[in-house]
Amino acid sequence: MLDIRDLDIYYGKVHAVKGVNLSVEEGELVSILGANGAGKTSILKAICGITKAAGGQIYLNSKDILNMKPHKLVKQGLGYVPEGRKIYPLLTVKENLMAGAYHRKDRAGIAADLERIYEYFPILKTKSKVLGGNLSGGQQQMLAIGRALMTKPKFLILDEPSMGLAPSVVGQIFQIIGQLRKEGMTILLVEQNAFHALTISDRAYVLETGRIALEGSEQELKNNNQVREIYLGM
Amino acid sequence: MNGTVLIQSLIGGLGIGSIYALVAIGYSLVYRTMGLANFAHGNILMVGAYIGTVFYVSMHTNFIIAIIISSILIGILGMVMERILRPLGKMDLIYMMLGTLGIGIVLQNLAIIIWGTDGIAVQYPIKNEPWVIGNISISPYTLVIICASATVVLALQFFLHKTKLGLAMRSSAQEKEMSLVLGMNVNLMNALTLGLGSVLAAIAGVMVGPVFYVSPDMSSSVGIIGFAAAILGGFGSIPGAIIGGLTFGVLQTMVATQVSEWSQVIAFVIFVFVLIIKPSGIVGERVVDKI
Repeated sequence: MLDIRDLDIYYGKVHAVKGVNLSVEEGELVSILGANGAGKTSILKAICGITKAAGGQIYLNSKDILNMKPHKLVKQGLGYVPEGRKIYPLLTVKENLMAGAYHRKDRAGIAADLERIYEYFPILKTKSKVLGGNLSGGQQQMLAIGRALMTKPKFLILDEPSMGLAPSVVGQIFQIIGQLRKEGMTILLVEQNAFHALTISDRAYVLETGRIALEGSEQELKNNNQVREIYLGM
Repeated sequence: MNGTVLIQSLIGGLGIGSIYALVAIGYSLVYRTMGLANFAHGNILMVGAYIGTVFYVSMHTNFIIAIIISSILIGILGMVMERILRPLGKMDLIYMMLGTLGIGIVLQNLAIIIWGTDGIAVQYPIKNEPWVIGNISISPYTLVIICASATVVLALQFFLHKTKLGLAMRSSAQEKEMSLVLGMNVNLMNALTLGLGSVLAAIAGVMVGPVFYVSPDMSSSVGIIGFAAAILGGFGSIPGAIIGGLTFGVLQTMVATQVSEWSQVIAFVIFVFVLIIKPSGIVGERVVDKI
């Protein structure tokens, strides 16, 4: 479904992503693990068209999306939960969710999806009239995921969904991600919390200073000594 | 100041204050969305007033039609402005701000070239014989201005809060990148915001024509006070712009009934005083920190 070939990204003279090849098959949940500054977020931003790539190709459903305008990508079925959540602080919870449905015209479908998201995250229904900026971190993360789901994505990108959250909330977020996967969503997940990420993933890539250092199935990586030592702390 | 004068100047002040409020909302809308203080806003208002006046006075169209034509043309002008400013914004916000200043100067000089420096007197679109109730005399046109402005503000609020496009405009103002990924054309939203702000200026400009002269000086007289009103209420806030505009209007009119030549000075002294006590403006709690 997603196929990235020889992706290069520069920030000024800094070569942040160096010839990365990465693919996600339909129905798969793939994680990108790596330390701060390894280039994980840059890859995701390049997929979304927010960061310009210097070279390479990105195919979504065999369509080259590298030079597509970012606001046209949502119609290709791309859902994005950004790092730091980026919810709209001055819009209510419901307005935040409706912003996700901006490109859609199917009123009945939108209403049904809104109800579905309220079922995933009942707290969002309770707080539907509260301003996004007044939610707790965990609730904002739920809102960011809900907003991405409102775009009716075929392919969902999640950037550090556990960042800065209490352990109990992290568990809840990962449970939802696992559930989405079971329902057939294709997901690309970037995480620092490698243990949680690997547990729900089919495959994972390990990124080190802009290069893919390792790739493999969940089991292969969990049994890899290097991964165990550096990312799982075992 | 006796009761009669008080009530009379209060109503007059609310009338001119509604005009300032419309202008102030234009400043605040653009600031909230683009983080930009639009220094061409006063000039846009003046050009809008002239266009309306040309249609109303010279071509004898209906006053409301004149407002609508002026709004459409000025709305397009506002959207074109976004296209001119966009490359500057990519470099730095300061360049974009200087860009608005430049556009303002161009508009100002074009207006002087086309219409000259003499003002045009505009007759009232309705029979403006004062209504006398007891000792109080009220100009009907003042009431028209107040009602029309209130209607415009309500329509604007409905558009921003109840329509999809309004939601997209408010979203783009808060999180640009995220809005792009959600499929909103942020450049278009910026253009619509500048267009909408300019339409408010055009409406204010044409409506105030019969009260003041329509002249190139309007850019500074009405424009600057609108700017000050936006800041007084809390820059970026629509309720703030309304409160700021009405406050300025009432202050000016009340001072003018006592010492006419001091009306501007005293209004601005109070303006400075309020900002010293509350730098974020009267209702400016949630200041958008973009500059």
